[in-house]
Amino acid sequence: MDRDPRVCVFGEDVGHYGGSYKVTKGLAEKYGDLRVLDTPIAENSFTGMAVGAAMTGLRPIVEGMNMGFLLLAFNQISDNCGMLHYTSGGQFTIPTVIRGPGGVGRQLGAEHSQRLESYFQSIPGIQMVACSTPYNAKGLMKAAIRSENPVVLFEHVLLYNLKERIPDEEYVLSLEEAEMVRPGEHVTILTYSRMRYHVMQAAKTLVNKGYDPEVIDIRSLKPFDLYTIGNSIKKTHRVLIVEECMRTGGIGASLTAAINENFHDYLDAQIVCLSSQDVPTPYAGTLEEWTVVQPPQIVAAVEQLLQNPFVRATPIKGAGLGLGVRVGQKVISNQGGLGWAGGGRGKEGLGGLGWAGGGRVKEGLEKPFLHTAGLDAPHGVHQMYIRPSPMERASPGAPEPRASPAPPEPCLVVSNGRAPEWN
Amino acid sequence: MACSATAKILQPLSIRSAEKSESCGKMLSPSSFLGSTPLPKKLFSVNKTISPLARRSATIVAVSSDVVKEKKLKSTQNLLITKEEGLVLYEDMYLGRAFEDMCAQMYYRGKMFGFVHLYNGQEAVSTGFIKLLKKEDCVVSTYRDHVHALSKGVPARQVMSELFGKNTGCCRGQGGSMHMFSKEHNVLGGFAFIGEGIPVATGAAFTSKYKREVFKEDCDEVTLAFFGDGTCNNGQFFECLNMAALWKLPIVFVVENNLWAIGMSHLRSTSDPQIWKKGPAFGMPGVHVDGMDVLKVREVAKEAVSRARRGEGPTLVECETYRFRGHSLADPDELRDPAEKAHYATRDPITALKKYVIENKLASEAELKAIEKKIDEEIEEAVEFADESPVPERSQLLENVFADPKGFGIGPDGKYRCEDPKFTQGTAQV
Repeated sequence: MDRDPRVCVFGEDVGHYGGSYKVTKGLAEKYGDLRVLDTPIAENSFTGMAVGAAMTGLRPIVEGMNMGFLLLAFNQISDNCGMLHYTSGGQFTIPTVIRGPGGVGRQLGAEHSQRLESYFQSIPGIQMVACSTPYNAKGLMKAAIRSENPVVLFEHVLLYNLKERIPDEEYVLSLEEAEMVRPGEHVTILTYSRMRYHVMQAAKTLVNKGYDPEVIDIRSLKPFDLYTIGNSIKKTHRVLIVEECMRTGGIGASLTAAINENFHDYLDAQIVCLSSQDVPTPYAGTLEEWTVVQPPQIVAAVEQLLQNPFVRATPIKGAGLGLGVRVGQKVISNQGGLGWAGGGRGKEGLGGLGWAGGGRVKEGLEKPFLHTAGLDAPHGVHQMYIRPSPMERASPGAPEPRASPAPPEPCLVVSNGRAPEWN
Repeated sequence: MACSATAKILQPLSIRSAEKSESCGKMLSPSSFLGSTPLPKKLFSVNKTISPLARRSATIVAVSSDVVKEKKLKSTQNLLITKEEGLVLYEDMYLGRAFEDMCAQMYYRGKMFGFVHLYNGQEAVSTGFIKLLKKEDCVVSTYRDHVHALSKGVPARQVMSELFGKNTGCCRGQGGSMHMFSKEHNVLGGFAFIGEGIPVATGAAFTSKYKREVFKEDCDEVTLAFFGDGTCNNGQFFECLNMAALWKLPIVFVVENNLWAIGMSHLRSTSDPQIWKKGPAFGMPGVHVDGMDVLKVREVAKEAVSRARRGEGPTLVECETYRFRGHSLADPDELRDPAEKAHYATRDPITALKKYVIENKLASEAELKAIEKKIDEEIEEAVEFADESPVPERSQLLENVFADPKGFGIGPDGKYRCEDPKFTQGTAQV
């Protein structure tokens, strides 16, 4: 705000109160009530005001007191922020920054714990970034203010208390690049915002167990930095995405699609995505913990990913508890795919893993056939059990699988529409 | 001018202004002005049942400034406009009408598609307000924005080629009928959702105040926000009235009350159909004016705009007007009573101004005909220009999505996607 007198802040309680999380503390005394504007409670209208001010030369920063309140401003963010540069044929730029605290806090209730990344990600014309440390918060904020594009900056309610030594002088981070947090060799873990800390905590455990995860904070939620992510995948061949967003239509879902499109050949295993449950965040502390991904789940997912070359994330058609399959029993279906029937509930403490990352986490998980594949398999060679195609199975004397060991134990073969047959 | 308390109506933030307005008589005597029907001189009453034709039974709030009032008292010969002004107003209104008629023709010939909303019948509001503005003042409109853009100065050929979807249009063909923007003439759009433009106008007015107070520039730019009666039931309208009055922003909220929101009559959708009354509730003057009479509108506009320029804050002006055509060119317009349409057809603002100009010997019939011919030629030329303009090329597809195209991100090869040569061809996958 010192450098450029056009920069101003609009939001509820940003001025005299200093911001609901004190982000703008002291600014109103220094810059005046007009530059740090306390607005009435009218999100849609003051976001539209920011758009109008941006079109006529100012550079406003809009604060949503809680990110969830910006749902009321969705009309202006989507139609005006995102689209006006295009529909005006490039005549007007909208250099706004829309920011606010979001994410699941400590028992704030469902409506104050929303993650809006997934809702905003389809809007054409906006960029989304998520900051996670004081260092990248300063750099990304400066970059967002100086950018000519409308930027939505996601902060997290629980990260405001972080303390870190950061440079006094100005620095600007790139809005489109991801950040390498911990280089590694075995698996790429992609994350952002608060989940970065859960991942780093899980990483400590993983390192003690002998794994070497590579952790990347993607920072730029839209567009994805496919270069950094791609380089990492080409090195490790396994991806785990850990996010706080909802499972359905979240950032992880888009990232999975983008990685599959661009780097499918480099993957040795299915991409595993750990996200929050599709559940309105409950108030009760225990329930709230189970909606969000916790470090033990991350550890378990990495272990599974590194042991099993072929991990299904979705239930198989036809495989279900109704067919008399025990939870936890391994199932091969001639539809293709190996998975674990049922499951969705894990042991205590790991609750809610669901189908994400493999179906179930029970002790005594038998090592499936190709446990040797993975860590030292040469890149590009898939030493997995290659299932015989339906044609091959139908012919008398089903042939041996092409790769080495056969399944070490009897499994239930389930095929669609017919009674299960024991193999 | 009957009411001596008239001048009080424009004092800002006077809580009693609402009551005073109720006791005022009509604004200007009908005999000096054209096209308006004499209104019953009753006091306003809230609980009247209002039928579609008789809904205007409330008195009009008087609005003129002291200066004009004195002029009127001095001499009945004193006219409101000079010859030059009269010709400018006539030309602008005729341009609006001819342009919209040509739009309809072109639409039915398949030269333009989508939703096209025509402004026939409401020209007095656009001309009355916008012809008072400077080039730096901003105008924000809705989807019925062709004539606002034309009045503000956007050349007819640019608007027509925008409608045809050609790349010489004011928005390079990317906006269309409902999104007319012009940086040069400060037309801030053109919004498809109603109510969406009002906060944008409030923001533009905020910039004007910011320039005055933070940059310490000598800035008296005013913003006009045009919208309809349907929008006045929308939350954004009320939120912006509050903020504009709170911060005394230099903005005028102009309601083009044409009684119909597609097929929804204003009286069926609004608990209190008198929109001007909603201004004093927020602490700004609310004014009602006959929107079929360009001279009355102009008088009100002068006062409202100069109030905003002086820094006294916003005004809410409700213009009673009517659209002769349907809501859009796709609207069969079956719900409106033909008698109502006929009634308003007799109050056509262009015929009314023509009559006024001729009767008061400001210009001759021949001069007006010359203007009409000139406008007709200009419209023809605009259509030809639009016809001959090229359609946008594929390379235009990805431009302008971001002001800074780095916003498309970094591709798998490490380069920004906008550096990919296919990006400029419009075929890159982003």
